[in-house]
Amino acid sequence: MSEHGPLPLYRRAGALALVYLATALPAALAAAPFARAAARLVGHDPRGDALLWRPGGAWLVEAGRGALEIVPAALPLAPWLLAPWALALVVPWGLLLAALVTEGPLGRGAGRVLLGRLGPLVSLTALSVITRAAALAAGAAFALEFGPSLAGASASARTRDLLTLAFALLAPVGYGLVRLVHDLALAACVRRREAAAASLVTALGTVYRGFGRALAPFLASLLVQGASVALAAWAVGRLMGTPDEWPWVLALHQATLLVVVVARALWLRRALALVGPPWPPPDED
Amino acid sequence: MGPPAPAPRDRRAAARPAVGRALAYALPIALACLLPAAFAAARRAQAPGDASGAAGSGPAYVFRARFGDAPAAPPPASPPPALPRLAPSAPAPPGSAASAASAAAPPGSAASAPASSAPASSAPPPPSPAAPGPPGDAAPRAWHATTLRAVLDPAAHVVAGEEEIVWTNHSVRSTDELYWHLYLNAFRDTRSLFLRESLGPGRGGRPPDDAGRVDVERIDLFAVDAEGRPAGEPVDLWGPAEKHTPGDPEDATDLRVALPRPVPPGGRIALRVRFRAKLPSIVERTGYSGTFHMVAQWFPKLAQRTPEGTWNHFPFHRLAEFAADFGSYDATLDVPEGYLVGATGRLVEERREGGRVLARYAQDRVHDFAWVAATGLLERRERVAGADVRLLYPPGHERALAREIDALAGAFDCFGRRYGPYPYDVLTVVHPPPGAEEAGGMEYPTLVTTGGPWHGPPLARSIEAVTVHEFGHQYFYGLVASDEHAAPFLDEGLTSYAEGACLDERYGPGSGLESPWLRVESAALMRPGAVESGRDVPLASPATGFPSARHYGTVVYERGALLLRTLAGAFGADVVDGALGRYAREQRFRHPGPAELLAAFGEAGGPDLREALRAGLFERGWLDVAVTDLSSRPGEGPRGTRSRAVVVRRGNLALPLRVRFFFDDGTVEDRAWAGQGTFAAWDIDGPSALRAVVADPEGALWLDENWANNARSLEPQTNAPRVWERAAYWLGLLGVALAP
Repeated sequence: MSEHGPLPLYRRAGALALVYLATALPAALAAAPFARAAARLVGHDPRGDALLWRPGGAWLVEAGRGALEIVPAALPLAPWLLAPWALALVVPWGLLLAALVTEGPLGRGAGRVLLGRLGPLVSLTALSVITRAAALAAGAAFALEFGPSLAGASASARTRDLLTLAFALLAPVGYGLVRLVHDLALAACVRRREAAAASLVTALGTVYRGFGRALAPFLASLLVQGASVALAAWAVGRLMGTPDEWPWVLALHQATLLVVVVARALWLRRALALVGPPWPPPDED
Repeated sequence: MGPPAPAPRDRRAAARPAVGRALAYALPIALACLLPAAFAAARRAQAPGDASGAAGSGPAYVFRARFGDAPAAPPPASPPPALPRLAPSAPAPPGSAASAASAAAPPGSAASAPASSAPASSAPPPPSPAAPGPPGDAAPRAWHATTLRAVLDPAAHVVAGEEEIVWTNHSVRSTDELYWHLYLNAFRDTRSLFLRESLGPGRGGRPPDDAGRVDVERIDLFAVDAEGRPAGEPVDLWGPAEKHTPGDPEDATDLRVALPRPVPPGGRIALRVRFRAKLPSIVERTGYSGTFHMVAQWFPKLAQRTPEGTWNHFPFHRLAEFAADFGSYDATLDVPEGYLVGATGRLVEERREGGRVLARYAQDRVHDFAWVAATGLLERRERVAGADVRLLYPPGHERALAREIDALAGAFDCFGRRYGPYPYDVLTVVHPPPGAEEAGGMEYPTLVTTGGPWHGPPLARSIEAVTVHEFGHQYFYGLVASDEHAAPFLDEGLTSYAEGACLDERYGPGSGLESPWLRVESAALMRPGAVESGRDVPLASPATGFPSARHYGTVVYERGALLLRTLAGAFGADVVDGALGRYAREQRFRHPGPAELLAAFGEAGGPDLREALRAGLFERGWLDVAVTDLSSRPGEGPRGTRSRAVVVRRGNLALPLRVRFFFDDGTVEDRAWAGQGTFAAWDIDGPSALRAVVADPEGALWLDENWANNARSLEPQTNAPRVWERAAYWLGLLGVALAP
């Protein structure tokens, strides 16, 4: 058993930047049609799309009115676009995982490891996406079905709603647990070179042996992500209406996205440490 | 805790942490510092210009305008005959219970003028209905004094009632018949007109789980003595009456009862009615849910007598509301102990007898009486603008209640300033408990129902909106008692406009939706519905003229409100608000129709405003302003560049608007167009080229059907950077959520 643990994240800033870019660039490309569509509405006005964020939101509602005609038609296509994207993101995130347990240049050591692990990583991710969606759907159905009925007919609306909300929270809890196990399985797959099924067994064993040790950094990561998004929303709210605000909003949003990526990467690094044993260096393989 | 990190293996590896660390810190710093500066510079280079900073400040430009033809023949100046003035202003009645003190007087005392003891006593006929009476509070109309006694059986959800009416024929013609509205019979079975009408989802869209009905047991006719009380032997009116709506044997919501002798103009009769009202499970503003009883439209109600001498009667339609004469009500409500009661008017007496509570409520100068009895509700009292506001609400709804109180405080002030002071000294606000939501959002004189979840929905101002709206009906319905059946826009449309204006006053740009990053005003939320189905049906249609509940909502409420808001944007908010205020004050305690509204607008804003309102109401008025042509030719004209722009106005709403011109040198100029013709064309000589033109740059014309064609630029932007940026951010977050 090697004594090697995951590298510090800053030593793999290149892989981290790759993850950020692999997230932000496709998002920026996918956002382009929305921007083009909005330009059709406001492009002739010299004030441009600043109109959409004028106090009162009349133009934003107007844009939404146009979007409502397209969105219902486009919605059924969403899973077919999002699923391949989720699977494609296996590459940068897998590379980051591999880079954290591999010495040497990204393209050589980590790249080689990633190529060897790509199959199980894709399988695990597909399983994770399906399970997470199922957890959300089951949680919502459970809340709607059992929340009101468990409260009883004589319960107040407040009790009924709170009970429904409590059950509804099962959905994100289920989602989170699936993701926790999945992340540990990814780590095991990369670090221990295990197949998908064996990685899941390792992940479950890790959770079984030290649930608190796994949960705490996972929740801390989620907390940082959620707090940064909320903070950004608040700050953007303050910025709106000020002249030339949008470059600042862009910087703020992208910094937030980077924080979210880093927070998740930090958790994955921790997951790599939790699943041990240490990854043998490529030249020892 | 994980194993320690491996030691660096070589110098290259040893140097890597420093590089990585530097990159990790540099990236966000670069994003935070460099990008804004870069994009700000790019944006400055674009220099889109804004009238707020540069209007009229540049070198002189000479504008030569040419306007398209105005309509050849002026449209009619009054509404079509199909929708005439509904109930013209009428003189004060021979007997009216005007004072607040009289509200506490014994039953029947409201009709104070002497009368003969004959069943159809004669009195001097009132003046012609055409004669104008004094406006406002000086002309309280009370054509009847109604005394009610109701005993609630909450287990059976039955109200056993007695009703005594002293009624005055205030019209210019005698009558040998009476019409009674028995609205609860709409829920008797699925053969009623109300439940036969299939108008899509919405309030009252499906039959109640438990049927409701009102059974009249007797109607006796009496003469009226000198004290205005029933006298002499009763004459049975109910026995010979047909027990169904005329011409509709399946419906029993509008019944004709023949009188043995005509009642002459000014004559008075007394009527005593015994009835039994079985409440339905909550449906369409009335009914029960558990121990909550919303007792509305519950008693046999005399139809409205118009000054011209006709009966304004109609069966209960799905989308229709009501119309009735002003009168005084004195009601004794008998409920089991433990039940909390809220009702129209002020509580003047309460006593307990044999495990029951007898609460007596009285109110003068109103045209309906509704009440609520329930266990489990809480009560809170507030003093607002001189009125005692009593709020009944379910436990746990304190957050919603606080928002209702805040909204009411703003509404009393706003409506008082705009439309005259609230004339009653009491208002009861009922927040129905869960399960009875369909009873929420309804108005009765001095009693309104509001609604909303216990937590008060975050972001949306729905609780404030429904509270202000229903309070607004105290004016447009309660005081200005237009016919809700024949002209629903006069109560719902005007109230929706006033609601939006008062919400804007109190909550600013977040009057419809309030969040840390987005504030949406109430009018913006109305625009989609108002524009999309607004032209399907004339706004001034009667309630029976709408093909669906959706049309009724989007046309009457949303388009009605936005028509006035558009007129305010075009002619000036002070002009339109002044006209509406004038209408509200002049028509207080009257039954105006569209003609009175048009007259008030004509007097306050002139013939163009009046005509625009008329077209908007009766002719499915619509509007699309578009900039169709824009060109600039450098080197031409005496000042160096000649430019040309054309703005067209499509549709039959002719409204004034502003047009904004953006020049290459940064100059921004505004020009006004009266909007009467079909187009306006400008030839402009100046030192710089015209770059863009925007018609109605402030979005004042809310009913403009297409805002996208309001601008034209020689170099239109093909991208929307803010939209791109936000979409990219949220899609990026989605990517992280989806990532492995």
